[in-house]
Amino acid sequence: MDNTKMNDNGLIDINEEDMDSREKPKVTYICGGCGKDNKLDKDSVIRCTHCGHRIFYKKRERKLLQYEAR
Amino acid sequence: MYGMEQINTATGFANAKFGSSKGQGAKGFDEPEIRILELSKYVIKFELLNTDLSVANSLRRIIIAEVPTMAIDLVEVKENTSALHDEFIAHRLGLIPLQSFNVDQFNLSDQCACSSMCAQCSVQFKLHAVCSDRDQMEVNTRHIQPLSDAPIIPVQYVNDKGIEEDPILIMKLSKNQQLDMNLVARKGNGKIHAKWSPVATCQMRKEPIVEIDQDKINRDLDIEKRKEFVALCPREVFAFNDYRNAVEIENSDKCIQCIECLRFAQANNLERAVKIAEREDKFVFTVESTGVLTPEDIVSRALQILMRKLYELGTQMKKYGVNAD
Amino acid sequence: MSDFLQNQRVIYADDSRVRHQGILTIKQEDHSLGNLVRHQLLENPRVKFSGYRKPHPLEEHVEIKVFLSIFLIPFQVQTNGEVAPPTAIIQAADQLYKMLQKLNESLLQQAQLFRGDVTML
Repeated sequence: MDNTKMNDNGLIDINEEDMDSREKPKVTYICGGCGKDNKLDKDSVIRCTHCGHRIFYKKRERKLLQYEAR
Repeated sequence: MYGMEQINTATGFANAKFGSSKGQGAKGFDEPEIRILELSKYVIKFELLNTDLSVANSLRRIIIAEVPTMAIDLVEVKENTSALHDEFIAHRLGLIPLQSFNVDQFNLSDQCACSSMCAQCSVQFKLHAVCSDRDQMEVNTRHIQPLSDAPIIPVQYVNDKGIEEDPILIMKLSKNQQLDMNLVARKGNGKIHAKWSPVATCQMRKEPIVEIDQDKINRDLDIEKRKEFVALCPREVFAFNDYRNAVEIENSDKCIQCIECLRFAQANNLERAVKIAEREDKFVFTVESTGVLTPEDIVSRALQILMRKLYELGTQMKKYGVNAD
Repeated sequence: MSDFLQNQRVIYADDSRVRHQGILTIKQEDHSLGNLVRHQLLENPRVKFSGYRKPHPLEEHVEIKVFLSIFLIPFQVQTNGEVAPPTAIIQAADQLYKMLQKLNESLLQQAQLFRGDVTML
C-alpha cells in the first residue's frame, strides 16, 4: 500500500501492475445445488467448484432482523 | 319493548297477530336467558332470549374483537434460506392459533410494568428447521418449540373421533434450505389485529317467524299453484304433503325473509294467509372457535368483559354524585 | 382540572344551558358499549332522550383513543321522583351488569351439563 498516492482529486492512483498484484475482492455466495459456500470475484465463472451448479444465492445479512407478525 | 309489538314491520304485518309468545308489555318481559342448543369441541350454538338487539350485538362485537388471546407478534429471523421472504413467513406465523387457556396470567404488552419484554407479557418460542437429507420438507406447528414452561403452545386440532389432526403447515423447505427464528407471542385482542380474534365465525340472527293459513291456502289455490308456492321458496321452508295435497311449513328456521312467498300470496289475493317476520327478543348465535379457547369459554369471557366495562362505568359515574341536582 | 379529566376514561359534564342534560364521554370504547348503554337508558321511563355517537370512525387508529359521547336529557316525571343523569347512568350500568351476570351464570351452568364432568381442553 506504500506505492499508493493521493491524486489531485483525492482519489488513489493505482498503476496497472498494482492491479494485477492486488488481491481481487471476493464475495461468498451459496451454491443453489449443493449449498456449499463459494468465493467469487468479479471475473470468475459462475459455476460451483464442488458440484458444477450455475445458480448462486447471496448470503444473508449477518445482523438479526425483527419483524412484526402482522 | 321486548314483546312482539316491536316486530319488524317491513313485511307490512300487524304485529299483534302472530307470535307464539304472548305479547309482553314493556315492563313485564321474562328473565334474560341463554339456552345452549349445540355444544361441541369448537362450536357453540345458543339462543339469547328476552334481551334487546343492543345486548346481542354488543355480545357479538365483544366476542369477535375484545376477548384476549395469545398470538405470535414478534419474529426474530436469524437464518432464512427458504424461497419465502422473512415478512411473509412472519405474517403466517402470526396467524397460527395458540392455546390461550392461560391468557389471564399475562399482561398486555403496553400495560406491562416491564420496559420491553418479560415473562408476564410474552412467551418465547424457537423455530429451527433444516432440510438436509430430503428433497423437500414441511415445516409445521410442531417445529415451534417453547423456550419456557408457559402453557402456551400451538393448537393441536382433534377431529370428531378424537383423533389428532395434522399440524398446521407453515411452509416447505427444499434441500439445503434452513430456517432459524425466535418467536415472541403476546397477548392481544381482535381490535388490534384479527389474528387475536378467538373466533372463526360469530354470527347472530333473529329467529324467523313463518306462519301460513293452511286452510285458506289449500282451499283457494289449486294443486299446481300449491306446488308452485312450495317450490318458489329458495330456502325450502315449505313442503308439499302428497297425501293431503297440502302446503305445510317444514323448516321455518331456514327462512331468510326474502318475501318471495309474500309476493306470490299477494299476486294470488292471499295477503293474509302468509306471515313472515323476525322475533325481536330471541337471537340465535353460532360461535365457532379457532381452537384457542373453548367456545363456551369465549362467550363467558365476552360477557365478563362487558360486565367489567359496565362496572367501571357505574363506579366512575359515582364520583359525579348520585344525588346531583 | 383539565389534566385530571384527560386521564379519566369516563367523563360526565352537565349541560349549562339545559337542566337535567349532560354529555357522558367514554374513552377507548366503541359501539359495543355505546349502543348498549344508550338503549338501557331509554328503558328508564324518566329518561327523555339518550343517543350516542362516535365522532370519527378513524379516530382510534390515529390517536389510539376513542371518544364516545352519550347525550342524555332525562326529564323528571314526578316532582318527588327526580332523577339526575348520572344516577340514570349508574342505574343503567347496574341493570345491565346484573343481567349479564345472570346470562353468564345460565351459560356456564348449561355448558357444564353439556360437557359433563370432563373438562375439555
